[in-house]
Amino acid sequence: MTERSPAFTPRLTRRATLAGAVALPAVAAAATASAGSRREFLEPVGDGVWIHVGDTESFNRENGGDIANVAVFTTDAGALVVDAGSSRAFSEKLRAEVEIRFGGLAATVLTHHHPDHTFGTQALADRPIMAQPLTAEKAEANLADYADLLYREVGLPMRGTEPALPNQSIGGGPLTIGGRRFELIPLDGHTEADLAILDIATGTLVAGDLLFLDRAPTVPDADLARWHRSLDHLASLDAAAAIPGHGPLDRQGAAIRQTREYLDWLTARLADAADRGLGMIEAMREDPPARWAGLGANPGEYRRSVVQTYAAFETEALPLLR
Amino acid sequence: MDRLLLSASGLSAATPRADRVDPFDSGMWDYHREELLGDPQDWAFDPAVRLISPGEADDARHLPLMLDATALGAVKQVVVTADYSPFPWVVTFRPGSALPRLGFGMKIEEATAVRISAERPDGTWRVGGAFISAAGGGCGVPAKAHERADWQATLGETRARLWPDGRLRVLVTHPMDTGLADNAPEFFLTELRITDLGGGSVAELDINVPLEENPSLAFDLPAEIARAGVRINGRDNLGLVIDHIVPGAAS
Repeated sequence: MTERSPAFTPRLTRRATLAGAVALPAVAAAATASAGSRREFLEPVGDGVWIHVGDTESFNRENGGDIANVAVFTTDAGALVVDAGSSRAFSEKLRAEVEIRFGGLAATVLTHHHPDHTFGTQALADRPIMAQPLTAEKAEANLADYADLLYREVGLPMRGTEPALPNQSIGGGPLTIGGRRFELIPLDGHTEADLAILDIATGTLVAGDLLFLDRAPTVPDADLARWHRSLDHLASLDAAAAIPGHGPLDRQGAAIRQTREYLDWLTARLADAADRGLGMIEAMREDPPARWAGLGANPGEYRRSVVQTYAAFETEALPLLR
Repeated sequence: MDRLLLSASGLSAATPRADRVDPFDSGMWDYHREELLGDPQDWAFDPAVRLISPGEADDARHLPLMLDATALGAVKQVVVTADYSPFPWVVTFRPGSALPRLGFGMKIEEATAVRISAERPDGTWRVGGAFISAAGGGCGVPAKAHERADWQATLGETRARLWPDGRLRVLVTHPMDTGLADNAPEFFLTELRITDLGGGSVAELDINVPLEENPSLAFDLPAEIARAGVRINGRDNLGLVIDHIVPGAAS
């Protein structure tokens, strides 16, 4: 059950095909080299919208913990960064790009408290780091456990990482930064406090880990019923483009569909396993079917999902004796 | 001639039998075999004794396992031990009419070999196991139960169900405190007995603190017993008593 090292396949990005289009080659080269040489550190996906697409495997030494997406919006006051990656090295790289390309950092918004999205706040901490109060609370409460996890799984690339906690509380509603308007949408289900951010000008939705695409969803803190309601809400926004927490940008609604179908499958699969009387290890050993086996981080993520959620399905399947 | 024989036997003592070469090359096995199994003379590692494991403990408080000694035939008892742990003895399982197969979960304090030692009716032991890699710490962290002020309200709640093919699942709500976490002295289930409705032993567990919190167990019984129903009795170290009938499986 050890994770395979991901095989990095070089992909031709739109930027890479535009000869000479790479601004500031030194920074870009340094950034892409340590990010696995697979693509640009930041790719343009809309008018003043850039994304960093993380590796779709789990934390490992090769990807250096760089597994989550980051969105950057340019504004008159500098860049609004959504989510921050997981290490000091990533944080510094992100900050350098933002300083050189976008006239500095206006603020950072965190979608939820998980460390792949929040441990790279170190070099962003002189500007507002905004999050829902519960996100800030969970980030602080889990700091030591998350640090243990990341240092163990990622190792040396985590060197010197000391994440900064959110320093500004936000709730739902409109947010204007440097003349650019956003709608903040508090939801839940992936965690107890998830935040989606809609860029009004382009209709780009940053969904955090409420959406995954071609990467198995993670469920350590999930409430699947609430997650479903949040997916319904995201679908109702009819956004022009969605940036999932993990996986590529999506303009077709595929991320919402796939996340919903995977969670439905996972729920049905584990309910059925518990109803057949399988123990946890037996449920873990039934690998996902072909449709889901090829998602990034599977079958490892599926097995972790069993460990994290199976007890609830067992409780449901076994009558209480009186 | 005598001298020759002596040196030959000396040589064989220095080079252990192939079936006594520890597959995990882990230091505590000789000591635990003496202390926890009573130093049996007839023992061997045997792939017929299987431990199905994830190989890695994603959650050090809940390592899901299934031991399976059915390939040995009749088995008197199966002892689960961890080479490196503050509590090397985990659980002893005496299958009565149940198969010598048990699904269970345990806490794991650090990466270790987990041994499954099965004693046959003739007193011979056959041993299997698996090496588990883990971040560890599962024995020292407080039970999840204590995060809730009202955890005692559900203490001892037992869920169970029988299937027509003989499967029995049992889930008991219990913190299984090891005593290593602050402000939580040892508090754990010490035994669980499954009997058929005629009083015959189906399965018995003697339990130690590293069994997981809210133990989740899987047994395999003769189908006719599963269809008739079983009785579950249990107790913990502070006097909790469990006594329930599990209705027979609808076929």
